[in-house]
Amino acid sequence: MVMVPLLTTTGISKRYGRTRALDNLDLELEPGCILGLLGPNGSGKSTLLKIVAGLTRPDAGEVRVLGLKPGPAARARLAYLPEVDCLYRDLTVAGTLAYVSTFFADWSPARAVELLEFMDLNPRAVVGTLSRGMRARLKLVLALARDAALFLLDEPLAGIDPRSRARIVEACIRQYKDGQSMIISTHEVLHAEGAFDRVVFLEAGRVKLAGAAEELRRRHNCSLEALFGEVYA
Amino acid sequence: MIRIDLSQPIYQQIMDGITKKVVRGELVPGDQIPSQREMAQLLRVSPNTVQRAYRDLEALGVVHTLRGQGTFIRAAPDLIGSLREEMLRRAVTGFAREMRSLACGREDILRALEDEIKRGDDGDGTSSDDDRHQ
Amino acid sequence: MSHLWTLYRRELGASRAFVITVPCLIGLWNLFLFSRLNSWPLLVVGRLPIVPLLLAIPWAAIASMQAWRRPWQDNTIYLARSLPVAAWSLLLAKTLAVLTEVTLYATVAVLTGLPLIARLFPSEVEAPTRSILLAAGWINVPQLLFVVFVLLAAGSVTVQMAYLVGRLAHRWLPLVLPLALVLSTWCLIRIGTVLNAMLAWVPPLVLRDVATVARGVHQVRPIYLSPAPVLSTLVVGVLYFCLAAWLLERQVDV
Repeated sequence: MVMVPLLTTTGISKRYGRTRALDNLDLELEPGCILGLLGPNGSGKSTLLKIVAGLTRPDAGEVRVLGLKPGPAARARLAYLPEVDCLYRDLTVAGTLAYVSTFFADWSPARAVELLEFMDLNPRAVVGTLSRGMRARLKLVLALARDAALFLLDEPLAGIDPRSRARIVEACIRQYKDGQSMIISTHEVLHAEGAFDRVVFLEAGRVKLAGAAEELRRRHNCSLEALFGEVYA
Repeated sequence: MIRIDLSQPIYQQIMDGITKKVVRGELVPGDQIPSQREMAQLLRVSPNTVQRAYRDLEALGVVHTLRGQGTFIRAAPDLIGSLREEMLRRAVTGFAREMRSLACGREDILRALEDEIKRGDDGDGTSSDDDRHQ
Repeated sequence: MSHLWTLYRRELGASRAFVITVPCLIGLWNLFLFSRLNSWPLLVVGRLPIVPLLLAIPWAAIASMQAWRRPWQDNTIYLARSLPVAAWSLLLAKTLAVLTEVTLYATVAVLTGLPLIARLFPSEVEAPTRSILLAAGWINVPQLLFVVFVLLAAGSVTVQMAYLVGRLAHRWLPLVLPLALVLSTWCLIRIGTVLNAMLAWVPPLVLRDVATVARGVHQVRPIYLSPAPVLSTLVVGVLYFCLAAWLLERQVDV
């Protein structure tokens, strides 16, 4: 059986007014790995994930995800966690889960319950009354409660207090199953870097450096976090 | 618990960590070690990295995985001996290289080694290599 | 289908504040008019209950706009667009929610206003006249409701499409939106006029002239109403709907 790439982007570009978010970006990702999409703010990480999830179209170039064009069919099989606070404030935590779960065939109610507990969330709490960090956790529960083929997690550690970051990374690792794939974008490498199999460093919408995490550690004799500092020095 | 130094390949450290415990006798044949999933969560590293380390440990004959039961130490005594020998060699090679780079001769090396051993015996003798990277 | 239902309920849930407060305000308005029965002339008090009904039309336009502005403001558009549903079902859910809200408000306005409006008419109506009026109502009301709903739906879709066009312009939205609104309404009328001629063969709607009954003439005259403008509005509305769905799916950035 020929391995179908999980995700390929060929020469995608995207501009917002004068800002070039993605600049002729080529990327290919094999299934079954956790990819760290690294870069400072404004390097194009969020735009790339939004394009893969089908929320935004590139100005030029081709995207294939799970063998499909980005769109509703692809979204049924991928779990996208947006960077922004996108929850309905008037729903309760349980209501939010109930709402989202109706749309996905791969939703696991058991795992949702387990994740709520793990993330220390009260199902009866109204979303609007939760702290920013709590809402960030709930967003993660929405993504991780699914048995998706691909997880797109955009800055899952942003807005989370340092102590809880380890817990979030742990939740991602707990959820990860053989053959699944994850793309985790972050500009905070320290807490997450152990989880990455591969990393892509983006800068101004281009790939600055990419490779297997272990290989980069061996070659540069330093942690990815240190490498991050060097790459964007 | 294995301490992970993120500036070095992780899979090698997982292998070394388990092998060391076997060499020291903390883990003996028949002992169960954490599953790949548990290990990945414990160390907060990619399950794929743990899988690779376990696969190589299995190829070396240090562990074996029984489907549905878990992963167990299975190193035979002669394998433990050779693992021990190999780790010792690796440590000495690094040490010797460092000494040569300081232009130390045989006399200096042996003297320094004697002193270090004496000091180690006087103090807390339990310090292990695992604590080196902190 | 179940997805559409879920989306529709969420839309109503998101504008829950209005769904609860607006009917209350309408009720209060009519209650206030009741209290004026003896101090204001009957001709005024009897006609003012129509005001909420008339306001329902601009309100439908504002609600249609709000249905898209709100998710973009509070970022829930990210959640909505990350669901595996086609853009048209999101659009349909919002349109249905707007129509539901307007229907609710109109129903409340009619039910609480009716006792006031009824005072304009002579209280003593002969039994035969009453039965003629009732029969006329059974014929008129469903047809008029059909016309009103088609116009409301087309209007709502036009506003929604104009908003999505405005979205294409990113930060120029405040400029482009009114322009798009005027232009799409103009197109609606232009295309409608062309379609009107093509739809001339459609049999007319037949209504009953209730005024003749009120004047005491017991011979109810029919009124013939050409459905062509309504049907052409419907066609253009469907066209705009498809265009808006395509914009949302393929062009608009979240």
